[in-house]
Amino acid sequence: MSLGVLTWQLVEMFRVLLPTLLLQLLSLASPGRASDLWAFDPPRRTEVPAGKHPVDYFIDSRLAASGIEPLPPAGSATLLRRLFLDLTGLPPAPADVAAFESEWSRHPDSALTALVDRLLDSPHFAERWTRHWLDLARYADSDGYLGDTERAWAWRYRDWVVEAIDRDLPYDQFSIAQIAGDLLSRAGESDRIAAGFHRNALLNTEAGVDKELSRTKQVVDRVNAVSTTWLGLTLACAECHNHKHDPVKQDEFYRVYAFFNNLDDEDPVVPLPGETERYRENLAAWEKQTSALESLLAQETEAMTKRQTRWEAELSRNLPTNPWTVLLPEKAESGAGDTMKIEGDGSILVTAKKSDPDTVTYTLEFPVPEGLSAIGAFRLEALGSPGEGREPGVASGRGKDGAFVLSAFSAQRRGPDGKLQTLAAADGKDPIWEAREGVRRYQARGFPLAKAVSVAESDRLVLTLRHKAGGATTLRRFRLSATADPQAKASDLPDPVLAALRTDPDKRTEEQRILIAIHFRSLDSTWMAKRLDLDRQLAKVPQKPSSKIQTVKERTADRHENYVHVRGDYQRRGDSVTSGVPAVLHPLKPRRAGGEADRLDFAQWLFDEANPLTARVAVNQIWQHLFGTGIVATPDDFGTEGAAPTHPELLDWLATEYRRLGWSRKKLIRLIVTSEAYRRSSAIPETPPVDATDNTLLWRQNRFRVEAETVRDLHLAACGLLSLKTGGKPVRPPLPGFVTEVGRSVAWPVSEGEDRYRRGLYIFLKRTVMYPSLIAFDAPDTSVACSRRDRTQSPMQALTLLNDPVFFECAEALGKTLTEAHRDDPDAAIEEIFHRCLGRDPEPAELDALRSAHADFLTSSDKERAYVATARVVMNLDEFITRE
Amino acid sequence: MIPDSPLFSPRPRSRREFFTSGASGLGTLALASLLRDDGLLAAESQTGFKAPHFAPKAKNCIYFFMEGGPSQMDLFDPKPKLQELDGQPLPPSVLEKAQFAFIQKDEARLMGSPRTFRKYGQCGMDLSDLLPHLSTCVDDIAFVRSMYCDQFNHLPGQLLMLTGSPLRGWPTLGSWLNYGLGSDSRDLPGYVVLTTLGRGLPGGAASWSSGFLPSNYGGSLFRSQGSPVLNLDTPGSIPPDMQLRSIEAINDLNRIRQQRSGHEEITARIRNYELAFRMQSAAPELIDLSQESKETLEAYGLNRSERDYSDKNGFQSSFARNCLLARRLVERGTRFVTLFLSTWDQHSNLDKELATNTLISDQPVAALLKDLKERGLLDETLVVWGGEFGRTPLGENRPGFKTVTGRDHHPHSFSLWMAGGGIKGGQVIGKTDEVGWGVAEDPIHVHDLHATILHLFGFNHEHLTYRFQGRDFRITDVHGTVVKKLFS
Repeated sequence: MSLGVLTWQLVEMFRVLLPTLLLQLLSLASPGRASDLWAFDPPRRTEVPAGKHPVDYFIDSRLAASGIEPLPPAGSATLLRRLFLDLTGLPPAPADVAAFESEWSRHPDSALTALVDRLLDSPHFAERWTRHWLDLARYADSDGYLGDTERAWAWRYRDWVVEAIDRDLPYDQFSIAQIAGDLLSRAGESDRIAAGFHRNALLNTEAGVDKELSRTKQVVDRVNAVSTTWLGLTLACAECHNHKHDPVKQDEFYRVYAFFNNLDDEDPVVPLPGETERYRENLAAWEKQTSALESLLAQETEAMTKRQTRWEAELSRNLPTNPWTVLLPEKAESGAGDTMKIEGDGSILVTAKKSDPDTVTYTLEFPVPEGLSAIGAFRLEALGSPGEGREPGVASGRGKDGAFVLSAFSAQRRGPDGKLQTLAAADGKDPIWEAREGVRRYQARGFPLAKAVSVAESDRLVLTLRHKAGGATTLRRFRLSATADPQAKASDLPDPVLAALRTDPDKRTEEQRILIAIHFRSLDSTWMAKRLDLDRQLAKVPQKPSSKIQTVKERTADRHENYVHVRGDYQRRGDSVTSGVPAVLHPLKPRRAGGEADRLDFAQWLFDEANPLTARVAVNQIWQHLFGTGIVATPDDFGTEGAAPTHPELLDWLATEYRRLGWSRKKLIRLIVTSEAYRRSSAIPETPPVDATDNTLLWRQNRFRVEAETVRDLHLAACGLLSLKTGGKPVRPPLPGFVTEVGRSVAWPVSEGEDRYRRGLYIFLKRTVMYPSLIAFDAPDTSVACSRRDRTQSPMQALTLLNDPVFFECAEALGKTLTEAHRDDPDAAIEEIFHRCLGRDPEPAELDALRSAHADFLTSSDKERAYVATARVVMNLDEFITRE
Repeated sequence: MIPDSPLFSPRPRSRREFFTSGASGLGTLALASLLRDDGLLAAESQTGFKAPHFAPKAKNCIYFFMEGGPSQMDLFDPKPKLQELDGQPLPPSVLEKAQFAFIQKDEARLMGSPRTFRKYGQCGMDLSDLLPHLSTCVDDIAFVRSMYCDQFNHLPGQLLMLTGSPLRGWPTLGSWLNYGLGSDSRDLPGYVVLTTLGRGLPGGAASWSSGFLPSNYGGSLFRSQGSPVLNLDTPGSIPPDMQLRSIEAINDLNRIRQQRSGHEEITARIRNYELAFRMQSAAPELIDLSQESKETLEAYGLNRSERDYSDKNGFQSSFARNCLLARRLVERGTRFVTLFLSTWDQHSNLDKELATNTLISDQPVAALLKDLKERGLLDETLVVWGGEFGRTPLGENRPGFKTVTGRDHHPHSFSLWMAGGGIKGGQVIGKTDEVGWGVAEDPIHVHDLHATILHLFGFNHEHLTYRFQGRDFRITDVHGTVVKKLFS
């Protein structure tokens, strides 16, 4: 190493270490404030006076204290659409609007609770809230990074979440299954699928990658995802070093890391519901059909016995002797890189590579067989077999129906001096052997020399077989032989069959009798046709259930050691650590007293009554989805740097209530949405009680743009194209090539039929090619846990809504429906557009504006096009993609 | 605001009249150009940006991202000693600690370069014979021979260079600059990506992602031909006047709703529809090169008949075209343009493939530098050229390779160059050791490069931060030192 390099390394070392040293000195000077932090004290439940809705009690007392008069409730149409969007992510249908309004006018309170119950019961509630959860779970359908390989079974985790939320699996069980489902004492398939939470981490499979580095980064991501999701803390800040005000120290980070440091990926077969039953049914049906074909074949075999006796008698009169000596290959190579397997009987079995070049040459090398001193002819045997029992027949060629086409044959002798002498060559414009029939039985050809050539034991024979016909018409199974006699013929009897026939019938072994019978049948076209029927049936044998899941299992042997990674570098080993939790939080008591705590202990510790964070973080996440902003505006940071709660007593009350409700997500949501605070209008009045943009105290509801997936769902629902199919494999709606081609792995097979119109939740999340209309509306990029989506505005959003083919197709579909229903009644059409898209009647000014636009559209288009354009206008309105 | 601009009149008015005028001459394009002068619609729609910390030297950046790792000792960093030691093993002291992606350590041998180097320009810069055009610009260029990083593999290396972190999910440099400065373009995105791809980019869209920054700071992928932006084209059955009338109706109705609900976000949405409409004419105008002179087209090499070098995406002059588009973009106020050229990952067949890469890129890159200079844009436009790492001075003897004809990934030392935007041209910064293995003088890490680029744009890299998951993030993480030599 040169002096220069050494110098800069020293400089570099100081440069990177100095800030850390300074930080540590500073933190010594100012002792941690962490224990003063509100979020680390247990939630305190304030008693709510009887008769008061708890949510309103806390919010209204703060408003009253500030002298702010809250807004009245939103109108029934706004409230209905708000509830539909918040709870199901779908707009109310015009019929829902009418029914609700009539109910509302009579019994507003019961109308509301009935509606809320109906929506919470809907399968679409689970879809909607699954999408929120998947943001935290950084769910995607591919690995990310260079290869970005598809995760064919990731969706089973997604479906597990949908199912769990649908049946309102209590949040503690829901969580423990995802963190440590594999460790539960009676872990079922469902728990193992849930543990797939950890498999959503990015995975780098690039060739030559530092695998241990890649693994440690996955562990860090898992710690990060778990701590963000359940603790509202980003422990990973302490991955590299201590931070002055951070309540979690670096060694504590690696103690939590230890819980996740020994996860191994596992993709076991876990059949889908009904898959095993379907397999058993199919197998039984197949078995029945197969037996039928087998008995037909058996009848034919029986009928052949007499014919075989006659055939044998005829043959026995003129049986040749066998002049051939089988050549046993030393080497066999294919120019196409195929695998050439040399079998014990000297035959060669070719397993072809996928690519099929036009010309394929086999080159074979043989020692001269013992006892052969001259060569007068070669024999090439094409070894097809007719099939026996449930063992299907095999053709000797790889072409259509087992055909092969041989273009050239040559044989050379290589002397000890390395010189090659050509012995035989057959070549020409036409194939020298084209076999399209009879390929499932034995066939042979002779290649005689002009005259016999003497060979020595030290010689090698080099034979080449060339196929030039393309289309994979190469030989699959064959063997070569030689003889000294240039007159020798290649018989159509295989050597062992000939030997068996030459044996006195009384002295034949059972094996020989079978050999003769099989060969005889292979010559009979009627029998072969039936055999082929059976073989085709055999190929259709139902596949065993093969659906997999992605899960993890705890490594038991050869475990990774736990130690502090100095500056986050796993190669710089610091102090050893055992698993454990940060000292600022309540202590963890392992299930096995005295033993080291494991991941399940950690998961249960999260739900320990003493845990101050889990419940608060959970109710804050739910609140955020119902009010647009959390009570703590930084759901990912309940630490020292995060936002303080706007309503700390409410947060604590809800946290304790969630536990009291048995961690029922649905009950908690029901409680919140029936409050007056939730039902308030979001419109800013002309004279707002405070600064209109400051809604910290919730004197009104918030108004916010819907999430990316809901933008899509709204379009598809409003025009009637939406498929409400739930669950299953992700779908790929159409995408322009220039979007998919930027990555290294570019396949995007477009889904067919109703799958094109599935909800946004089901769009295939390919990390290198995220679906553009989702990204345009701030869908997270799935790299890390995301607890709060951005809500940006951009011209790209406008272009997407105006011109994206999917959204335009929706406008077209709606325009078509309107033309059928209201061909000559534009006002009725406009009303229907409003009902479908916005769930309300148009106001007079709006009706005027749309009438006028529609009239202008009509000047340059037909009626349907004008309706399409009118529908498109409404589908581009801010209100359409906004939850008010 | 234009008093009679029908699109932005505050109240609904008679449409029929407007439609007549639309048909009689006030076409979409004319209207769009009127709107361009509409002061209402300046970059203010980009929210949340900060002012620079001090006076910037650069306004825009054109970043040539040479994906795959260009071979520095065959282009920029002549190594006579390496030529001399061709075929010898690496000194054991170095070899012991070396880590490779594919090379078999024990049999690895140094590999000299077949290129010839000469000195060019007043500054006497050494350049390879593969860069005849760039050699005429050397007095404007600062060559850095002492870059290094700590990533061996393409994607982590590229993410580090693009975002400052080898992990996915961080914002790219272009996003940080748009976040920091906003966009000067009223009708084009502030961050545009142009690609000339062979095998595709390892990171795909992560290569221009806004990461944890809001998504409006992400790069927009442009095509150099056809419809340049995704969803830019109005659906076929909607004629231009209908599109205009539709946007007008959308904004009328949004305005009504704004009055009812009092929410300012609706005003922002109205502006974005106006901006989208302007983009619909500005983006096609951007890629319409009919107003460029024959000399310009020839200088960039747009008339060259390149063979189709790639197995997909038609290489034909697309890189030359992208270079010219880069100039047109910065002329129109786009803050950051990334041009990807893929791939320089020559594990084998280096001599031939490197010559192909330079044949495609040398002339247009040099033409762009000269063009920017002639138009007075180079002073305020920073041009950066480089990959994610370099290549080994060792030949690559990967198992299965019959002969050694390429080089492996090499993060320990590599070259890149910068020009314009306050960069002091005509200098070489840093040195590698005799054989080009390690850095011998002035090591510059990727973080230092980012710190320096932010400095040129008027930012202290330690203070351009964004709060995410409870922490203030910055592109240099906890590293980065401004390399003053580059600009003073």
